[in-house]
Amino acid sequence: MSWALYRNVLKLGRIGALSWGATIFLWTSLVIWIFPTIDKTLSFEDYVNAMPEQVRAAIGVSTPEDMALVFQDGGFTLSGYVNTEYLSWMPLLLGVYAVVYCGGLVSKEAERGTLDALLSQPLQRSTFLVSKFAGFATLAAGITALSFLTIAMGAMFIDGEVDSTNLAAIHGVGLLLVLTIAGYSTLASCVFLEPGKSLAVAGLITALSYFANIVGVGIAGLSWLKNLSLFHYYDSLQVIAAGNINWTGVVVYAAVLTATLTASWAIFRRNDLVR
Amino acid sequence: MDNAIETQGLTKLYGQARGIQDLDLQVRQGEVFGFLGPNGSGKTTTIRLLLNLLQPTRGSATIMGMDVVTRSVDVRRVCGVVSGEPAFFESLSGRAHLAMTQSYHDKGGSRTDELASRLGLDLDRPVRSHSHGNKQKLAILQALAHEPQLLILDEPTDGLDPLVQREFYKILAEEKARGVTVFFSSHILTEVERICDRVGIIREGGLVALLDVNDLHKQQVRSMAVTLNRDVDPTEFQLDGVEVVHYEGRYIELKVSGDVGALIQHLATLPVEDIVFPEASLEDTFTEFYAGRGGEE
Repeated sequence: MSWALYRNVLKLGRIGALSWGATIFLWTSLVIWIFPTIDKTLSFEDYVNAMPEQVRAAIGVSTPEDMALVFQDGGFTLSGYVNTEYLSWMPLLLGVYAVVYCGGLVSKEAERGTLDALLSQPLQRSTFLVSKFAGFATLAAGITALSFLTIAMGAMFIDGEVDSTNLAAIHGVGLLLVLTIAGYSTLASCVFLEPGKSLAVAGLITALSYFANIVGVGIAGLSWLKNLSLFHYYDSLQVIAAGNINWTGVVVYAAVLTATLTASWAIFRRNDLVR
Repeated sequence: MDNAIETQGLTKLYGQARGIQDLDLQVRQGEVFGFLGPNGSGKTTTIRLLLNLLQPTRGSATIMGMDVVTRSVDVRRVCGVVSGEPAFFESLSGRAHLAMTQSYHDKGGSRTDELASRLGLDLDRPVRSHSHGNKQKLAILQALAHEPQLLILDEPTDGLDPLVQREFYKILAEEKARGVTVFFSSHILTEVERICDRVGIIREGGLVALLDVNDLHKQQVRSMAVTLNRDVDPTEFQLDGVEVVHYEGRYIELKVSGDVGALIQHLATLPVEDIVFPEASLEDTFTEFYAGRGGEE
């Protein structure tokens, strides 16, 4: 780990991170702010019930048990509402950030020539990779922490009820999923060394993974597809409303993250940096 | 004592395309070695192999006795590098870049302000506001700041104005005086002649000559155009190392090799109206080597 490089990663990434952070802050604030005006609107339960199964899968409400967690006494629970309107989308939103950032982690530096400049210094390629990834992980963790704080403080502000342990747990699982997306995006960046290709591949994998989950839930013959999706293991409603963490998912994320970062290092250490 | 740089059969092939082939090179410690060749001849590929930015197809290379592949970090710790196309983080200042470089080397920094002042570089401005020449100055400063044992310079004067170039040559002479080895890659013959002790000439990925810089001077072929205030008699130019290429009326074109003293003395006896005697071109010198007159050490 090079602390000098790590500090520069944070410095150079701060504008992007602030933009994503501001988006998250506005989104979560809006969700919390409008909750008191709609929590007793009875028609929402019918509305969600009437949605196609795939759309309900997208917002994390696939089963009658899920419905029971989202709606109580004829209205939304705050946890259920925050999940439907934000938490179920959070990893996709931050996943885009991970793809954009880590899809170019190595390849953008190679294209700009800064990779040559850095690796002409006494810096191991593994140190470069670790410092850059650690920089991204810190920025992503900062945005996730902002999301947690906004929801927790917003709930207090409107006298709503959200279990802070469950809220922290779902942000932790969400961050792990985002880092997993960052892991394979980094791998694409090391394999291709061209930002156009690496971003396209990382973006495509993310999109396919997301839709595999939706299609797998909604179409009986293709239910096996959902097991291939990273998003399948992210059950935000179960965590935020019931405190049930899917530990299989956590293991899958940790395994994919470890495997992709190891593969990134194995490829990058032998790469020809051709300009 | 180990050579500063040594390559043995160093080869890099890019599929069908040529990089360098079977390069055997020794650069002695403390010398300024010119690595001369036209664009695309393999100079930059050689440097990138030495810095382990590329993996050799076959062959090996050492710097200060250390293998460039297995001990690449140690190798880069003793090197200061100016790459062919210096690149920086545009929003950071020159000073921030130097601080980052110094952190990798765990030393340096004591003379950055002095060097920046000599090169005329403002270290506190963000890099994006620098011209190409100023970026080149920053690259030079980065290479020198940690007081390396070996300087690897790829076209380092590209974009520098003549005054700064002169200051840079002075700095290089000072580095040489304190025992630093300089590997100076260039396609400009006069520049290499001016500052180097020995020269390796590379073309199409292979070393075509390795010679002392004085021998390079002797091997050079230069064109001279002379206009007299009367008609030219070509027999007047039958001197050693002088070949008449073309003449017409009062104008004669010559090819001159080796020492030009005798020719200058002879011209002084003629009614000369004008002389054009440009710098030797790299291509003309290469032509000589291909004609079998190049020296191999």
